[in-house]
Amino acid sequence: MHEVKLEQFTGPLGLLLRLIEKEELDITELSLAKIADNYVDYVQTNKNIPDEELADFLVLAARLLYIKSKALLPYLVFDEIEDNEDNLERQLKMYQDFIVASETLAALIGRKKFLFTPSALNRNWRRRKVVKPNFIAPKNLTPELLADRYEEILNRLVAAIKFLPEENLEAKISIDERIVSIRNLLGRKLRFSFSKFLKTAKNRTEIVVNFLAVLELAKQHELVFEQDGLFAEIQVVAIKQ
Amino acid sequence: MKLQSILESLLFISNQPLSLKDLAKAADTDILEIKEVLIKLGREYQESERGFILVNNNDKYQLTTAPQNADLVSRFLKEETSGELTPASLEALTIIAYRGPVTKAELEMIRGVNCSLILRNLLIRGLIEELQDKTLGEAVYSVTLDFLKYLGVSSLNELPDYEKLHAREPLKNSVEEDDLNLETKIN
Repeated sequence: MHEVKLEQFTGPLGLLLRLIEKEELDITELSLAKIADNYVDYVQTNKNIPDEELADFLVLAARLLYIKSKALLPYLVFDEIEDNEDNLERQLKMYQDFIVASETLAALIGRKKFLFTPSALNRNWRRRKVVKPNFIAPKNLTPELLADRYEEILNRLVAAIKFLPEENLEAKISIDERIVSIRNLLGRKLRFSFSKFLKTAKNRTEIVVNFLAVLELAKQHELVFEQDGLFAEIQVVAIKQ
Repeated sequence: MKLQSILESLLFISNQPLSLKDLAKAADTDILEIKEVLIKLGREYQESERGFILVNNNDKYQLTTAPQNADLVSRFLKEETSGELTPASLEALTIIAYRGPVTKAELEMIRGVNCSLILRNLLIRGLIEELQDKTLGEAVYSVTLDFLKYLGVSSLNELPDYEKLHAREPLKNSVEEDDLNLETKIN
């Protein structure tokens, strides 16, 4: 693997664009597939990526690997995300256009043809004293106005919240917790009926948790299952330590 | 002709950008009429190579010194204006300048990275401003008149390739496309 050294880049797309330009590739689906490994290597070895941006870099890595996998296995059809690489290709081209435009803007700023207004004169010319702003109460400010505005803000929040799908938070029980309670149960009763145990569950999630907890304990050799015949009742039996 | 002279006086005396609304109220005239006169006025200033120009952004107007005199004026004011911007801020500013008013989501889709911090810095520096878009129900960002002063142009239309980059079709969110498909199926 050759060492990649890139000048400063400004985000995941910036990095991708630099890598593509470095390999002198055009922005196409094929080059995106080709460059995927380089990109992943770079993200893995580069320590300069700010933590708060890392997630965005990884999202792009995932998109690239998906494109690469499609290029490697063309006979697999994925209709769900059909548009994906087309989007990235378009997105990157658009990004490139803006990079070019930002260089033009930098050049414009670089001319230093700043425009000045009278306020600049008042502020800085010859007297460098800082003038303290006097407090002047706005004429139309009344307690009612504040109350109105506050209500408006609240209404806006309510409107925003209205669109969120409602979901009640259920008290979730973890597998670890359930394992402890099963151990206690076996400590007291030595054996219990599996179907009766499942019936104690209050909802589907708990059924799954109960099931997984029992399996986990079986794996850890704390209990075994006994069944007299096909479709007969399953008994959960503690193993004496 | 009278309206032109009124507007000129108002712009001359104000030390901050005036909106079309401010001007319409002060001059007691229709907004559209004022806009027409201002466009004419701005063109006149530039064509006659005056020492000031009329800058406009988001329907706000301000008289500023002409870009060609920048060196001399800044020496006179002893004002040190640096041209420094980080590449990332410049990139975000470019997108906001060309695509503005733009939502945070669209900005992030184009840049491919979270832009909260950059937006905050640009807001603090007064290079961009935030407005609440009532139809979208979220905040949109555009560059300020101060940013135009920094660039030395009298309006965003003067930016190279402005029409082309401004009009580019929006990036579609794949979720939205799915939603559309669903809707057509139901119908």
